[in-house]
Amino acid sequence: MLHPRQPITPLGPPHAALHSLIFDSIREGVFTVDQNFRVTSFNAEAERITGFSRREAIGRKCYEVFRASICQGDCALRETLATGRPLRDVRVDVLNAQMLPVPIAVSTAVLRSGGRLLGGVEIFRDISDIECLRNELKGQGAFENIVGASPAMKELFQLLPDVAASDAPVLIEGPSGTGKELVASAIHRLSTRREKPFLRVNCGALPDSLLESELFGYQRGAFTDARRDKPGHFVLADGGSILLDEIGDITPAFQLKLLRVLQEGEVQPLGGTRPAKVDVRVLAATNRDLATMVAEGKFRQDLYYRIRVVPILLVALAERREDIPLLVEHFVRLQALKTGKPIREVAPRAMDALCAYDYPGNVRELQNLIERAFVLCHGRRIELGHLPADILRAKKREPPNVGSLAGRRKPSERAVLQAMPMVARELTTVDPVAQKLRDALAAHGWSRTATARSLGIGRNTLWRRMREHGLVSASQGGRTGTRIA
Amino acid sequence: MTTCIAVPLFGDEVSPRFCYAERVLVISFVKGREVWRQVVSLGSPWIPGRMARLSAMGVRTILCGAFNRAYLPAAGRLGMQVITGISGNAEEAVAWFRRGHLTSTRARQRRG
Repeated sequence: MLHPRQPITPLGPPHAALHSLIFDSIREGVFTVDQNFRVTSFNAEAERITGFSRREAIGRKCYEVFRASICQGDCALRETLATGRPLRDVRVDVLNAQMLPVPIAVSTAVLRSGGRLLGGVEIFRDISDIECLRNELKGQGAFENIVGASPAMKELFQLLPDVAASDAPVLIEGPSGTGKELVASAIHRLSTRREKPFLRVNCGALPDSLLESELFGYQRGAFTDARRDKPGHFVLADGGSILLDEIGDITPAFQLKLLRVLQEGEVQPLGGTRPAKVDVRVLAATNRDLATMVAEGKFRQDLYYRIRVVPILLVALAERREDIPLLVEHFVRLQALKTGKPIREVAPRAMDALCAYDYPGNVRELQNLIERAFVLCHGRRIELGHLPADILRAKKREPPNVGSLAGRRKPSERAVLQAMPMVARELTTVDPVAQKLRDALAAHGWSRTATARSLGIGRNTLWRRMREHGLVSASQGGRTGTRIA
Repeated sequence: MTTCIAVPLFGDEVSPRFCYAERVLVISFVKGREVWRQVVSLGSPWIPGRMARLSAMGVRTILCGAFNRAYLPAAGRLGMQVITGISGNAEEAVAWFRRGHLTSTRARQRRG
């Protein structure tokens, strides 16, 4: 039954108290700002999420309280006040009072009274739990097509978005078949360069002259068969990323040529007279121990430090055995899709054998084993008999306790490095000579004349050393410097 | 004695968050006298990269609104102290620092 509408009475002081009660009972954080972005109200949930009390927040600029990822760029509230349009569920992160990031989803609207603009209102909710679940799901097995749930792989998954966000050169080291190209590709896909080309060059497969023309291109007439201009991979990858695979295999002569390109940020095609500026992020990969090669004088130290700003070390599959069942499942799924065979699982004894094997060829070898098993298997399940003899011999050894540390070998130095926190690993890349130069330059206010005098060397020598150790753009405050990252 | 400080900027103000400031004011003092200054563009918000860049410039102190706590130990390892909780005009913050009024423990007094 419908009742006649009650007359509306204006709000008095008791209603204001009621409003305040409701305001503080809402499960979303709510705050309002005036037209100058000064906080005018701040509810209890906003206090909980930010860690700032109402008393601390009111009267301050909202960006001083929230320190959100969009405050200094695409501020949602600023956009709403400028356009009058509300925004919904913009995902940002704020730094709370303890300076820890908190992911939130933000909605904004304009506050008006009688047609007069008063400011804006922002409603936000803490989405830490959702993000946590999302990360858990990621942690369950794959990230950007890279499969693994071992501590080493989780560390890698955590590291990749940060590495991708930077433009620093990356050196991916690891044995053959560990997925170096996959990691390089993931870095490119996660980066702002994702819409631009990602090119891979196998430096080990080509002689110097061919590698030079592949990377830097050539101009018509540069040599007998050069009938027309051919752009090199650096030019083709402009704006994107290039993977220099097997970089440990290039000759000393080519190392010097490559170093020059990386330092200058420009390439000169064979037979050309004018160098071309390029903006390419350089990712390098190798299965060789470059540090030892540097110590033995087989790889240029300056090039090593130039390409190894961010080192990523991939461990052998035998050092992360807990990932083997996940990888097996992944490859079985892939092969089933590819071949159309109804194979869905691996028999426990076959899985034991796969987990006990050492995989000198790493993940690639495991993938090949599954592919082979698919050829031989005519049922729904891969059995022990579908695996090759080497695997069966390894089966005689005790299988490791998958999922725990029991049964694992003592981790290699690489594994230990891989397990180091990302920042710590970053700091291990500090070049002691560069550090000494930096300290001397800093002590003399970056005056090259005074620094050279204090070190007992000439200005030109100092300048050369600064270039060799990547200190030139730093000393010039980013005004110049190479564009090749 | 040389002191080199970095103040991430948001317009003319101290940036509320180190990693999202596009520009950073770097100033070098020798025996308290300013000898060199430059506004540098740091680009990517990747904190280790930013810190490495500033460290290479000789920066030993960063003045800012906030700094992701997870990276404070790394800053320490690079020999940099980070003074947070600072807001308002960047030049005023620098002046306060030169007068010795801004230290890690007193930074909060600059707020507001």
